[in-house]
Amino acid sequence: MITKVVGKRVERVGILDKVTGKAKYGADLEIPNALILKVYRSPVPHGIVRKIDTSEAAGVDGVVRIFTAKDIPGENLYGIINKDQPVLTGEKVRFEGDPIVLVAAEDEESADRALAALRVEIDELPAVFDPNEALKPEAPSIHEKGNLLFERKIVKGDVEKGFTASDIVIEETYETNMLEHAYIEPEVGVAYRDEDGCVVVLVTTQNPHSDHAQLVSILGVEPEKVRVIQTETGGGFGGKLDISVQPFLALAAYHLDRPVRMVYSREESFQATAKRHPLKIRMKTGATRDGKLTAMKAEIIADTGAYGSYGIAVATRAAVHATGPYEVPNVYVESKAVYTNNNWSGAMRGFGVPQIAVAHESQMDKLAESLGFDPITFRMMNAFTTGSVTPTGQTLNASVGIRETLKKIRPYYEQLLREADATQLSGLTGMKYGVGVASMWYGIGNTGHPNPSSAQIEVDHEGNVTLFTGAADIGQGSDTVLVQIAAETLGLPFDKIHLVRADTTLTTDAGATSASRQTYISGRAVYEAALEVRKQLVERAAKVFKVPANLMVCEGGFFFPQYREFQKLSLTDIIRRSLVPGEVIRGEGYFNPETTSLDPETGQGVPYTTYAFASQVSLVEVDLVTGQVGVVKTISAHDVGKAVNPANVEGQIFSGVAMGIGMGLFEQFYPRKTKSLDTYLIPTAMDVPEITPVIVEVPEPTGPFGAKGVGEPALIPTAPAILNAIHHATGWWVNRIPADLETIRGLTSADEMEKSKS
Amino acid sequence: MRDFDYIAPKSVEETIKILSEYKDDAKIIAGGQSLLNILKQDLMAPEILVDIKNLSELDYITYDEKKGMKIGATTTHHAVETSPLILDHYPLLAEMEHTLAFPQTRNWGTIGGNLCIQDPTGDVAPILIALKATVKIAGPNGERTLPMEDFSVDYYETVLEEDEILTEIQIPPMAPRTGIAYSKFRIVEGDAPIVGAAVAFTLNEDGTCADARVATNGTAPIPLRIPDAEAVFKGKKITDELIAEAVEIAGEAMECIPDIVASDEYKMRVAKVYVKRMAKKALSQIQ
Amino acid sequence: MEEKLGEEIVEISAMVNGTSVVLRTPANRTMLSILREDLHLTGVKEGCGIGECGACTVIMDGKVVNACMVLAPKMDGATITTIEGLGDEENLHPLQKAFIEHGAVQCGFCTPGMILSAKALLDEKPHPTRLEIREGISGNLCRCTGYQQIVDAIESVAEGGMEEGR
Repeated sequence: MITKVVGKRVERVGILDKVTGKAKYGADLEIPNALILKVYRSPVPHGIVRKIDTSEAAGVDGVVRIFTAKDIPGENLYGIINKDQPVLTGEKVRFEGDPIVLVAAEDEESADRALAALRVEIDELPAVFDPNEALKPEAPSIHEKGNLLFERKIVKGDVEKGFTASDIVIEETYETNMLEHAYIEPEVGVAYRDEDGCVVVLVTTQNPHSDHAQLVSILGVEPEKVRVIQTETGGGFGGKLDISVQPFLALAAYHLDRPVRMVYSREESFQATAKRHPLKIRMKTGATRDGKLTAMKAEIIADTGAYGSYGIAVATRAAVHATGPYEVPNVYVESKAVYTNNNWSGAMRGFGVPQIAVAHESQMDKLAESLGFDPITFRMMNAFTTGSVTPTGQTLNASVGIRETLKKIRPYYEQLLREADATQLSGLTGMKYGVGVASMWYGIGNTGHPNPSSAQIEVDHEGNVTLFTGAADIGQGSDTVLVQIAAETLGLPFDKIHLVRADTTLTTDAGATSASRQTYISGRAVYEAALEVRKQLVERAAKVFKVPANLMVCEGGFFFPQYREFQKLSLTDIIRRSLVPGEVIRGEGYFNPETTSLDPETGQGVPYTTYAFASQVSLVEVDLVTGQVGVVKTISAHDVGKAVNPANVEGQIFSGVAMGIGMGLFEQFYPRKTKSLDTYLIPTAMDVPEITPVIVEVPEPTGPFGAKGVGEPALIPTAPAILNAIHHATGWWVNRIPADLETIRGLTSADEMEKSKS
Repeated sequence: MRDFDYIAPKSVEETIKILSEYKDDAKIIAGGQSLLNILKQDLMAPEILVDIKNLSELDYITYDEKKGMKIGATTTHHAVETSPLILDHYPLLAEMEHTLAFPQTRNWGTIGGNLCIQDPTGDVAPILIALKATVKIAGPNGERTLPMEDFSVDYYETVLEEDEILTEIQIPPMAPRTGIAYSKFRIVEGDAPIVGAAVAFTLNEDGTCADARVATNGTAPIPLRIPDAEAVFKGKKITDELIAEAVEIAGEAMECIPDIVASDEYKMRVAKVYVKRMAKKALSQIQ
Repeated sequence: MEEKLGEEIVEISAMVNGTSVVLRTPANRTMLSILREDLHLTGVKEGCGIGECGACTVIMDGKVVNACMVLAPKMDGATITTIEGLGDEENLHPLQKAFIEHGAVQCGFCTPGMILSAKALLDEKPHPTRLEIREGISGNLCRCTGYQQIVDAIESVAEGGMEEGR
């Protein structure tokens, strides 16, 4: 299909404001007379709140109001999948950082003095920090329903028979790290009550409509009494899906006649918001001598910390994706999400799939090596193709690009092998070079749940075209992509379309900016809305030209009857001739990809309509003495269905690789110890190599112009490719991430040390 | 940050006068690239903050063939990094400065401030020790000069009395046949070093070792000069065996502290490797 | 003590984005809070407050500094450029243009500081290598872009010359 706007590197929506410093993030909003909000948080990881004495704090100069759990008018419980998290806890604290008291004061200093003057008595309880320990009967109980939040099983075929029929079986344990999102903008928002008594919350968020629903429940008010407006958002990566400052802002604005402001410091952002679930994975994989996978069994335990957040989704996604993008006839997976007294884990770019990919891709390389295949050949022999059946029993009917991505990286793989050999010969002693491959698959959208999106497009009587979407652009570029889809469908230039986004009063629910779903799902909703508007415009134009509608052509913003282009009229001309002042043409779009809920016993079902696929190859260097690993080069091929904006797709790939380097090599959040960016290190420009992105487009029939998604897929293959490259370089299998200094150093035998000494 | 009175004295003399009056109620700030974070956390609450950042009297780099290099205490890292004099005479010092923290830090932070904060991982001190630098301190009773290695006392503590100020770093001219090397180990760019090592050798005409310096950072509460390791080389021809011996002795002198990033054992092993590598590198410059 | 030597309140006279600014402020503040709160230059971002992220980078007397790591009184007598002083919609700086053309912006929170670091780098070293560009922006953390399109954008300006397109 020849497209004019889709597939082009158009200028990002809003970029001019961002490069000139005019873009307004939450902290940049000036609200006169606003009070400052601060929270008192539990200093202990587990305990019962015995007494909260606010009398002294209330007397501090500048303090306006102090709130505790009893001030919450609605339900003091939230959570995006299961509600188990109090806004302010009055009874129990479950991690170091649980919020107990909210202070509203004239300025920051007064608020700080009030926090210092609070007297909160907590009877400390024994705490449990290891999810395996937490599952034991004698473990301290963190939630009344017990410490097992959720268990997901996937059963396909007969896994034991599969192993019996295998020539080789490899079983291994893998561990992954707790991670901090470390978006550069910490959580922030402002709130006020408008003239109609509606609590308006302007906030950095990935999820305005869900925020709205949760605030309505917390305040116990009618939906129209809360409005959430997304401010410019400085990154999210899943960390801004759960509410953070929102309930505090809404609660204070609800009770007070003053606007309020709340800004998390970096330290508070680290302590109080979600982390990536660390996973422990036991995985057993079998194959025949001729290289066909026969069976895979996995036991997964995810530490969800004090609260559920997205724990259920993470445990489910890890289970559903546990085979990797390969056909395995016999599968058995048990995946648990378990409460502990650690910081709560939630959504982070990939929801468990980046973690499970470490396991399945290590298994693939171990099998390939044992059976004598190169890693790409072995993957190719087992990779999904059209007609393949997934572990949940879903037949893949279209847009299965995994083999194409493997083909694309093959020449790079060969080239990097030569480079590694050449560098090894000429390189420094004590340094080893190696090449690693990893692939991934990723289901787009929520797992086995409906996840609709909606959008509207309006054309007013002056010809102004406005797209209304609830989708929150958090930097990934959905604004740009959605406008491109609307422009392409309407046959209009890109800059002709005005955008209204992510305001719960002005826009309808587009679902969360998560699960790499906005291009695919909201993009399709926008496409549907645009088709509807286009149909109406064509009908109007047909009346103007007095020809049947099916003879009208709409192209490049102009309308004309077939073969009469010389008579063409612009959109504005048509509008002026056919709309009266106040009249609008309006199109509604809606899309909810077909899914079925997974069977509770067997996990069988259709969790997603479509999947993204990718393969990546990395060259690494390993310093045997220090254990430091560096990524020298990376080539990453992604099947995105259709790149609506290739520059955005490449941006996601660069981003995912950079984040994957931190995840694979050094990032590690230590609950109760990691405080800020001085000890939680993320990659600088010097720590990320030059990356070659390869875009593969195997169109998805249900996606807008064939598009799927890439935001999370971009991250997933990086860490496993690094681990496999370390093995190629050194012969060591590293079964955990991060592959940090002491992990690698610890693998160096005295012999190797001796050899590397010089 | 707590409230404090602020004063920016115009001279060293005036600075000392203020310090003498306020004693430990006063705190000197230069670039403040570490101190500001201490103040923000209210870990320190001086009554008066004495800002010497703009004391032009202390912002200089000079070189004299006989006396060597003099660097004023408020000279920025960036000025040291880019000084033609330093690039000419002590290129290693410029090279180290180029990798110290981030460009933003180097542009505002001062070399004197770095030494006075006495962060045990700081990478200025070990090079200065290897270069046989001395530091000049001014106080109400005049000036005193002491070797770099005697300046640090403990974590975040130096020999400076409450009425004293560090004014100058002096580096003697490099003796002929001197080789010197420094390297540090860290995880990401701009991060504080985990450990680092500086080694300097000066050889006699017959190739035997006339003088040696071995210093490390991140291996003790203070930058560590290791005389016992240096003694191994004196008067002898430096060999791989001798270096190996010195490395073992150096390891014994270290008291590495485990932290969130690395264990004490790991730090010591890496520091020893760095001592070895730097010894070989320093030697290679003069052989 | 006979007389009080210091002052809690200091007067600052500075040139900010080409405009002369005079103000009085308690001394125990940072340049970041003065720029954002008193001068409303909210293009200067706060990401960590401890000099690790570079989001508050400004150019002070020709060199980049973290505004959160400069004590407010140090602004006295200084010439300071924030993103607001670099170029506006009608008259974009070549680096701003290049960041737009290369899609070197995602969430945009690091962008103002990143562009200023790039400017200071090119002012000091007009033709840096890609590695030197990476070094020059190493004090500016970005979690969204993986840096590559940023390096591309800066490189394109370095190749084309800063003056071109102004």
